[in-house]
Amino acid sequence: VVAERADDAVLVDLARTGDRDAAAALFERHWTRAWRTAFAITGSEAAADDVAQEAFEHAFAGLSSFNGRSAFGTWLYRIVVNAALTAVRDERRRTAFAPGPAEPAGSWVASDAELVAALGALAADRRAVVVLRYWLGFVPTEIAELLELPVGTVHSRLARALAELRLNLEGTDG
Amino acid sequence: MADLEERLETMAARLPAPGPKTTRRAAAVALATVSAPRAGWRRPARPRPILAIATLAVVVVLVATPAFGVGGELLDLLPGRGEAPRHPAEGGPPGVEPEKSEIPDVFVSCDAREIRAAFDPAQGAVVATGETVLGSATYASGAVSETCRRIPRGSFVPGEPLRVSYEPVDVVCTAPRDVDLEVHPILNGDTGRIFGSNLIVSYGNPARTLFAAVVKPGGARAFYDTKRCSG
Repeated sequence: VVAERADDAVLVDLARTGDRDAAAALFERHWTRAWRTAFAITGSEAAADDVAQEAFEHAFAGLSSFNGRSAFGTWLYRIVVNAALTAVRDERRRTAFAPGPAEPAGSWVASDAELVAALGALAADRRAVVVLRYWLGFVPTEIAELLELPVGTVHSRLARALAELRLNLEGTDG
Repeated sequence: MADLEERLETMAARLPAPGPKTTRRAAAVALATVSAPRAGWRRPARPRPILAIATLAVVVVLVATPAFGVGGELLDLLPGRGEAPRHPAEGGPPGVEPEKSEIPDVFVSCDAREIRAAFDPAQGAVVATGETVLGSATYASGAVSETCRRIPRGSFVPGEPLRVSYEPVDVVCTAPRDVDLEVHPILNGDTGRIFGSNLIVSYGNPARTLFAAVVKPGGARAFYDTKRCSG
């Protein structure tokens, strides 16, 4: 109960000492959002399984190197985002697989298909800022931290991505 | 198109969530990587280039030597390299192009407390007790021994610290009670195709992980309990 109430910083300190109950609380707190972040970028549930699991492995195994300058969540999601982008790029190189959520998944409805396809057509870097902003609810300053970009770059990348999305959707409509 | 941002935000509520099995497995492995810092631990000194090159040369020569290989004898028992045990529920001959049913998704209990586990990222993983192979996992197959019996799938709890290895390992592990084995395929959720398999050895209920192997392209690795396993 204490672990559930404690904030991440306290849990991280406990987990660093080998307290796996604290680590379990961190896992429970961040797992679903981490998985969804991986899914939103890769567009694949299988890739999200791998990326999110490995991100937690790296994070927990590397807690001693976590310097606390950013929040644990930011640090963890940065690992997830980088791993997801790497997975997308690797997949592209290996099989020319068109990344992106091309297939209906979860509880998406039929009307989502058009937008899903348009998102899948975006470059991974652009799709990442869109899904981080609108699907995962990160604000631009947080996205800047996750992607290690200036906030201005996030805003401009987001604007360009939305413009490209609108163009893609208009092409679909017309 | 003015509502594009609103449409995107609306979709957020319909994003899929990780499945309970995925969550349970991820927790089992991830939590086990949490370990207490060693007393007096210091960051290792950066290796000197000449020493690193010399070490690499020795490793290359050793690996190129046929007699070399961690767990070589045990890994010889992997499907395609010899007879592997097949669970009655599994079906299908070994060495065949994998289909969705080729790798079982089973949780069994085996009459063994001491096991030997070998892992090679190029081949897969094998777990045996004495002369009996209890289970195996490769990129295209997975099996558990018919001497083990199916049991209900339990939940995992954090156990002792696990060491992760992306290199070949060969360890002997001792559990305080009979071990349980879990084998399941790793599927590409988009295509439904198998591209690897998992082999997890645990004990107790809730289960504590003793040895685990994730055999999949680009990330094959093994985990083992550092307190209950020795190489």
